[in-house]
Amino acid sequence: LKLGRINPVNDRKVIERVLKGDTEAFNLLVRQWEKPLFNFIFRMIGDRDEAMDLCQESFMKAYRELGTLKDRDRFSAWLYRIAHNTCYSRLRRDAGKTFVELQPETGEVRMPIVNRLAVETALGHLPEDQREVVILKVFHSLKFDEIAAIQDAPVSTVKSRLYMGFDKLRSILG
Amino acid sequence: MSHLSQKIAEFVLGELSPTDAADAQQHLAGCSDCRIEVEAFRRTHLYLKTSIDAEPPRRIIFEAEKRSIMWRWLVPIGAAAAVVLAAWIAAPVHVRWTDSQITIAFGQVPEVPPAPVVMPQALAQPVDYDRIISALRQEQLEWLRNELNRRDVGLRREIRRLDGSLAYLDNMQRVIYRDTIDNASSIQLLARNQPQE
Repeated sequence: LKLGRINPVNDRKVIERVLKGDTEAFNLLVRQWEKPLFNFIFRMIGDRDEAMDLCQESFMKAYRELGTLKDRDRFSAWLYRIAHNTCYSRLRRDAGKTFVELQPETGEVRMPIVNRLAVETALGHLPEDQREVVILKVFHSLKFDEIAAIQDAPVSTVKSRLYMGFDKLRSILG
Repeated sequence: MSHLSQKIAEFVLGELSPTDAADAQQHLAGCSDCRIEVEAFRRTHLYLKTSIDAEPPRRIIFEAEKRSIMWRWLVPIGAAAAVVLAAWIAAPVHVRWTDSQITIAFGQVPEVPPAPVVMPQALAQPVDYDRIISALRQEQLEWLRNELNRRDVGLRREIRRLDGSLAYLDNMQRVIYRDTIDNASSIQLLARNQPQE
């Protein structure tokens, strides 16, 4: 995955250390994937605190089920899949409610805030499956086959979701 | 080559193979419909990318479970007990306590006259309903307390979020009001400078 990393660690080696009993080595994986995973969930859910809770929950699940991960080189894809399940179970629970983060942030110039709010609001208008594809493609640069694995859907369906999502976003954002 | 349709994203994001990308370029040169579609996709993609990533509000840290002092002592004690038990099983040692006298026998079990069998009498124990009810009530109270705390936290979070929204809207209103005043002044100025017919 082409996700922005600082001093990337080798996921496979860290996983092996964790499985040998070095619990604290898991923090290396957390440090590496925390921000992208948080932003993925935040854009899916629209609430910062809730997103942080779900991010933590996803890492807990990943830690508990690490032994079941077959291909250790695909840890990130597996982690996104866990986050996907966590988000969807929360979205199912909160069906009918809409979250739009409007909290102003100090210390930033006005334009990025307005853009961010506009983008977040526009994303909130998409159905969950389209929103997820747009987020994973635009902000996380995942390949279509990786998104297809996360959504458990054919690549053609994933592409259709992206184009439908973009059409709607275009009509909202102008 | 037919229209790009499902390949627009890969073309814009540079995910096509060099051959496919060249084909797509060639097609675009002669197809205005696809050019419009590609341009629209690119514009929306750029707009979305202006939304920068947020910093997580807190950090997640996993800590290894620390062994308690009790565990530190239990391990050697357990090991010693296991050794004694193993010796007990390997070399049969029999200990008997009768009439304030202790008899320890190794190997052969000494003959012991069978003790008279005394059947224990079943004693009717009254059921302590008060204690059970009290325990249940305590459990319910605990659950209720936790539930109220949980909801309280949720409400406080919602209030904070709404406060933030209000502050933002308030600020926006002020900006719009200021812009309106500025615009009105500009219109007046323009009207004043307009040459008289």
